[in-house]
Amino acid sequence: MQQLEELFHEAAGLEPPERAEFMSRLRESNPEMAEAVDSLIAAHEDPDNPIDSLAYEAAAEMIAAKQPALVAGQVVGHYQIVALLGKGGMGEVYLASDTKLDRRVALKLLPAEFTNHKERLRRFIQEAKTASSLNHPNIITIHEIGEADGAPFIATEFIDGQTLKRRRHTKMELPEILDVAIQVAGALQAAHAAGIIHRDIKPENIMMRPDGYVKVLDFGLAKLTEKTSASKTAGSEIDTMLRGHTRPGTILGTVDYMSPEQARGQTVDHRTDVFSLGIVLYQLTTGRAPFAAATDVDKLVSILEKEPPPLDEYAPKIPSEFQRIVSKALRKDREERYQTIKDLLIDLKNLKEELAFAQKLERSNLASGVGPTTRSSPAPQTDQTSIVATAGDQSLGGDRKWRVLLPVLAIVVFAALLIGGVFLWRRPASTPPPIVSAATVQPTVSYWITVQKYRDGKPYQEPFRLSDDINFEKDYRIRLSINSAHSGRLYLLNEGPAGADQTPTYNVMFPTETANKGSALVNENQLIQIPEQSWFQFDEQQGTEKIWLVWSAKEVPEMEAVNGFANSKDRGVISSPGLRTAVNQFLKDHFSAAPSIQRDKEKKETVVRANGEILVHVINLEHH
Amino acid sequence: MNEQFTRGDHNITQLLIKWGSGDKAALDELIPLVYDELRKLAASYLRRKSGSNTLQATALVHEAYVRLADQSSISMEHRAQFFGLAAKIMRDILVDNARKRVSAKRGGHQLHLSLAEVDRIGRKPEVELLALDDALKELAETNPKHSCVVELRFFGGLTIDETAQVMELSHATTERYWSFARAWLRREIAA
Repeated sequence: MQQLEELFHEAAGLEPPERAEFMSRLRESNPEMAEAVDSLIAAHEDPDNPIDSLAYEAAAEMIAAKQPALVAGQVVGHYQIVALLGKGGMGEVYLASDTKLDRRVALKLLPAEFTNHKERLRRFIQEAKTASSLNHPNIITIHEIGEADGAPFIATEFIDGQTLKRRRHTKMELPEILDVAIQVAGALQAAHAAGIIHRDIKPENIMMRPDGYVKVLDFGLAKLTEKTSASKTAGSEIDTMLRGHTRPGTILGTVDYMSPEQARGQTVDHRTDVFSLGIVLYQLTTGRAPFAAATDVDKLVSILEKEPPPLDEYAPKIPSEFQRIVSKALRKDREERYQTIKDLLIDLKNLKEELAFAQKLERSNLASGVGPTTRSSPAPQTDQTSIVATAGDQSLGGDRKWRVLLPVLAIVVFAALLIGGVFLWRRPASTPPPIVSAATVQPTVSYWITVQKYRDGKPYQEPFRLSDDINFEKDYRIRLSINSAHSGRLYLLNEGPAGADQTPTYNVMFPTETANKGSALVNENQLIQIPEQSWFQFDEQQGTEKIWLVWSAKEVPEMEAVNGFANSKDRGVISSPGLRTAVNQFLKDHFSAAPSIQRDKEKKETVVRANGEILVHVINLEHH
Repeated sequence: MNEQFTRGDHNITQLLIKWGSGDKAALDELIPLVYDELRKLAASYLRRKSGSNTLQATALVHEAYVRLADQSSISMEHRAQFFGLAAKIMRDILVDNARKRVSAKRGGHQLHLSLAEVDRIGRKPEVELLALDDALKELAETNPKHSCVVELRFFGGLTIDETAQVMELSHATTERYWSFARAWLRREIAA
């Protein structure tokens, strides 16, 4: 090797004519060596040497992608991973199936570094188990805490819902906020009574089921990230931050919901949960964080020193009693705060009752004709609007809403009766009249296909738009454009060949990392183009290419699970048999409610309208 | 940015000393520190350059190490040791990650799609990285110093001068080692 290196340097240092001469001389004396030097020179001059960038690219990609630790199908203990549900500072959460008890569980994988702190891990396990054993309906049930490949995991009941994090930027209506608050406070009260402080109340840790049930997650988990008594002397969170202490895990999550005593690094008691819940309530009401700032340090300063803007600045109709409750929870001095979560809970419950009473009063006023407007019948759908309206100081906005809403409702009800009547008259009496609901929108999605013809490997003619499914030839390139008439969730799956279990494989086409940033959420009239920049290409294989289009106003758990695949790097292929079956079943179930399909030749688009809340449509591309 | 790192972190120095004196466990504690730092930096880069994916990884990796090492509490002697270590850690992290990804893909049921996104076909960096790691191991058997230079430059993000300093070599020698190893590895990976 030494000789090779010498010769390489000698050759590399020469100008081309001299080098050629040098090489030919070398070839004569040592042809093998000459060949080796030749190949090295070629490598040396390769302008695209991966060694110049590979590590950085790999590093960047790795850091940016943050690959999930587990993939579908993998087995952890007696759990089989189905899909990645989410990632947070405290690890990754997967949907898994418990192979022993045949049930779905949520599996949280904690960062491996926690195993280094046995004492902390022990305390966490103890607290988490105690909280779970309280058997409180609003505290998540832990099935097992175990360890797999050195990484601790927690298996809990799987909650089919979403965390409040998804909703923290949109204002909630007061009745719903009160419902959530009362349930969270109830969970905390039970935990506090058992001597357990949550320490990390935030929207991510509050899960809401579609039926309104709330579950508080991650009791005791904050114990893991607490500083040890030795480092406590290091000072407050701010100090550590300013000094750039790389505390492994100290601030793993967000500082947004910290109490002032947490920010200062003081010992906390149950009143820290009161403060954090106060922040959550503020945020749900206004859609913004009370202590917003550009950096973590500024946020902490804000938590310690600044008073948040009054609630009614962003939520003008909020009752003053609710304002008082939130601001009492947000007192910086914990001695001035609600002293127990029970006190907060009582105030919340009282307010809820008052509002319910006011609403009842309003209804009876309306019924006896004392109401602000005249109309035929009270509409139960508008409960929430009316509560907010009456709860507000002057209920002006509410009145206006009523005035607009009621005539509209009256017309709708009349129309419904009319249509119902017509149907009753035209159909045999045994078939029920169709239900016409004013509240639900009819899911409508329009789409078209842009085609680029290709001949001899080159684009041929200008791209054109198609509403219909035509025969595509080999090498045609296509792009799909989809427009959702309402904001909701959109999923696109390309159906592949069936596996051994007769269930097809699916490839997630939307959402993907590059399309809509991995989110299924689309806005009203948002135009989605897939693929965004390039084209899809048909290859040799002939047949019908099926693309499933799913639109739903609400989150579809099966589909959200699919989302995890699209975000990972396995090209969105759903390989997990469990999830494939679930998706297959879902598509079957909803496809039967066939949507109405209308081909608009003029606008060159296909408009699909669902026959229910969920739209499932299949786009068939014939390819021969 | 408000993430000012103004004062030293005794933790790192102590861990380095421990590791230097043969305490293997110290490395386990060091890795998360380095990794954490990288993640934080990456996040701030991504925030600044939102929308573009031209992540300046060179700067990123280098900045992370400099930030970790450039603290008053780390002496010159430990600094050199630190860079060597950081490069090793980076290599471990990246190779490990690449291996995981490759095996995840192999395990995954690849779907034969007739609808193939044209632009998706490209080289696979993780496969190349693993090949490079193997080639580097081979190089280390005959030319340990060359392999060290590559590790510092390639995984550590150090310049020729910094590498020369850490390895206590002259600039010219370091450059010679680098250019030979670079060509040799290129040839090995291509094969």
